[in-house]
Order: sequence, then structure tokens, then C-alpha cells
Amino acid sequence: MTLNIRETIGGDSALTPTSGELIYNIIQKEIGTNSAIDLDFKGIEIITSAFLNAAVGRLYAKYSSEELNALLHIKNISSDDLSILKKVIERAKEYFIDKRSFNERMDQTFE
Amino acid sequence: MVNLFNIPIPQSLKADKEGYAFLSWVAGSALLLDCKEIIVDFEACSFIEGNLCAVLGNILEGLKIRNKNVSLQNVRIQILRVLARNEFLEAFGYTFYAPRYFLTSIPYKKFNLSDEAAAKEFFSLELFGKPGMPQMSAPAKKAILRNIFEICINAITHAGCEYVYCCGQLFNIKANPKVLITFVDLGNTITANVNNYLSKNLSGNEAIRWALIDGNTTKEGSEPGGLGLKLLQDLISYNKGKLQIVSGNGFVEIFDGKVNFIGQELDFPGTIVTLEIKLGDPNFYILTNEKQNTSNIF
Repeated sequence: MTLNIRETIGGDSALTPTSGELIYNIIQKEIGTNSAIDLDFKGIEIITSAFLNAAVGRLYAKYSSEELNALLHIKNISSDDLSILKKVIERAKEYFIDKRSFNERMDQTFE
Repeated sequence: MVNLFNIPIPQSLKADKEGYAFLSWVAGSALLLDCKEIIVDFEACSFIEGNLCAVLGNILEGLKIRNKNVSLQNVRIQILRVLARNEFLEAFGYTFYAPRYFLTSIPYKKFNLSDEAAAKEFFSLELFGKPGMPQMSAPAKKAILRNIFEICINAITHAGCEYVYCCGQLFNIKANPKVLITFVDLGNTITANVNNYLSKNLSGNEAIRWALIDGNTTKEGSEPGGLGLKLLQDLISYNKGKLQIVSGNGFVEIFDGKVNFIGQELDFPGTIVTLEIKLGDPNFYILTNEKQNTSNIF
């Protein structure tokens, strides 16, 4: 399916984590059934990292890069917004690696 | 019980060490007082940077919520004009007509970002839609707007506040046109959030220093974060602007490629962010025209 972000959040400004969560829930549902999804940014004028963290970044808590590359595709994103998205992805990967190792260390500490 | 508390606005109130020290004193004393009448006395004041109305307004609104009677007194005509143009007077129930020949204010406003489109419309119009101001390129406008929203969302997310307050002042000086915008919340300080997250006892400056490091975030749970302040620092660097962060007893200023850890004696019970953006170079934010590939980006 194609998910038009502008239509889904009802405007051209993708700013808040709340709007991001709307997108995340739909992506998650599709990927959860192994269906491919195109995220269409057409008509979006402003995006924040907070929106992208909530919509895309948190997917790394559940899915690997391989799974996301296979099922999630980005369309009609401007180059500056793509730069932000890439930073969000990079940060999310580090965050969840750090979090897993942190949790593992904590588990070992309290065993 | 003291029934009357007087807030004497200084002769000059600017976004600097003295200005923030004064506002920290006001917030720390007035909000804790058990008195009914608060007088904001402008008798000595002959200059105020309009953007600081965000801080003053947030504090005064906090007092009104606590059922205090707040009145502004002895305001000189030139100060009245500043406070009328940025709609600060109106917000506190005063009416004063100031001719709007010079549209040099971003009005005093509080946001909760429930209406994203309206928030974008407000800043687009108030920052870039005024006659006589230099025209920025579309990518520059977008970068500035994005960072404004990064600040607002950070404030609401990390401070645990319902609203973030903002106010701005445009300086259309031919050689160096610029805008100062101040954002403020009276919620959890950066010091408290960082110390809570790290289980440490860092000073305000040390906590802000930690928060400014790329990748550091106090966010926990399933949603990553920690990019907003990095993007903001990038913007200031491209724009050759200035960023000030005041929180708790921390006061840090980023300007001209340097980070100055100034600090303050009194705690500010929240966070103030003031952005100074230069408007003289419309193309400060240049994008690469290179088509970027979106396949396998995850």
C-alpha cells in the first residue's frame, strides 16, 4: 500500500510525536503482516526529527534494517528532509543497540 | 503575610546575563510568594527586548493561575508601544493603541502544537511575511521553521508542560537585520532531567553541556531522540547566529563557533531558549542539488 502522510495527518506540517505515532501504527500493522508499504511525503512542507523519531525511528525497536529495507519505501521526500530522516535512522540504530546492551548489562547486574 | 509584591523592571532588560538573572529572580520569588497583589513596575525601564515578554508573560500567567492580581504600572510611552505591538498588553487585559507602521514583532503567544498547521502558518507569516524584511530563500525559511518547532516540541516533551511561550523582535537594521525569538517553559529543567537520567548531580552548565553533545538524550522507552539540539546547533553555525539556553542555574551561549558556559547564581525554574537569527544572507542554508537515493536507507 501507499501511505500518503499529508492525507493521514491532515496537513502539510509533520511536527509532533503524536502525528508520527499515527504513521507508525499504520506502518507497523502493514509490516507486521509482511506487507510492503510506501511512505509518500508528497505535499509535506515541514518535518521535524520528533515526528520522524515517532513515525520511523521507533520501528527499530521491533524490526531489523533488513526487514525495513525489504518492506518500507520512501517516496517524494525532499533532499533536506531525507537528510534529517537519515540522521534519525542512524540515531535510532545507535539508540536501540545502546539500549539493548544497557538492558543486558542491567540484567547481568541483577542476576 | 505580605500582601503586595513589587517587581521593578530594570532600566534595560535584554537577553544577557543581567537580564536572565533578573527574570530568574522574578520567577523564583514571585511564584512562591503568598501574596495577592503583584505590581510590575516599569518606572525605571526605558528599554526592553520584546522577545523577553515570553518569559515575563509566562511568569505573570503563572501568577494569575495562582489567583494573584497582576498589574503593570508606570509604563513609559515607548515601552507601551513595544508591549502593544507584540500583543503582550492585550494578553494581560490592557488596551493601548500603537500604530502598526513598523511590523517588527512576533506576537507573544503560547503554543501546545495541537494545531500544527496553525502553528506553521503563524511563524511563516510573522517571521517571513512582513513587508520590508529581507526575503530568505525557501530552504532557509524551512530550516528556520523546522528548528523553531524542534524547540517547541522539545520543551513540551522534556519539560512536561502543556504550553511553550514565545515572543520575538525583528531588528531591521540595514547592515545587520536579525530576529530574536525567545521560547520558554516553566517545567522540568534540563539540569533536573539530565541528573535524573544519569543519576548524577551536575550543575546547570554541565547538564546543558551534556545535552548539547550529539546523540545524548534523556528520552527513555521505545522512542529514540536526541537530534533536535544537534539540528539547532547546525542552524546557528550555518546562519552565524546565536543560541542561548538558560535552565536551572545553567546559562550557555553558542555564538561564533564557540560555546560559552556562563552560568547563573539563581535558578530559573524552567528553560529559556533564545535564538538570534541573521536575516541578511537569504541563502545561508544551501542544499545540495544532488538527487539522493532512497532505496535501502534503513
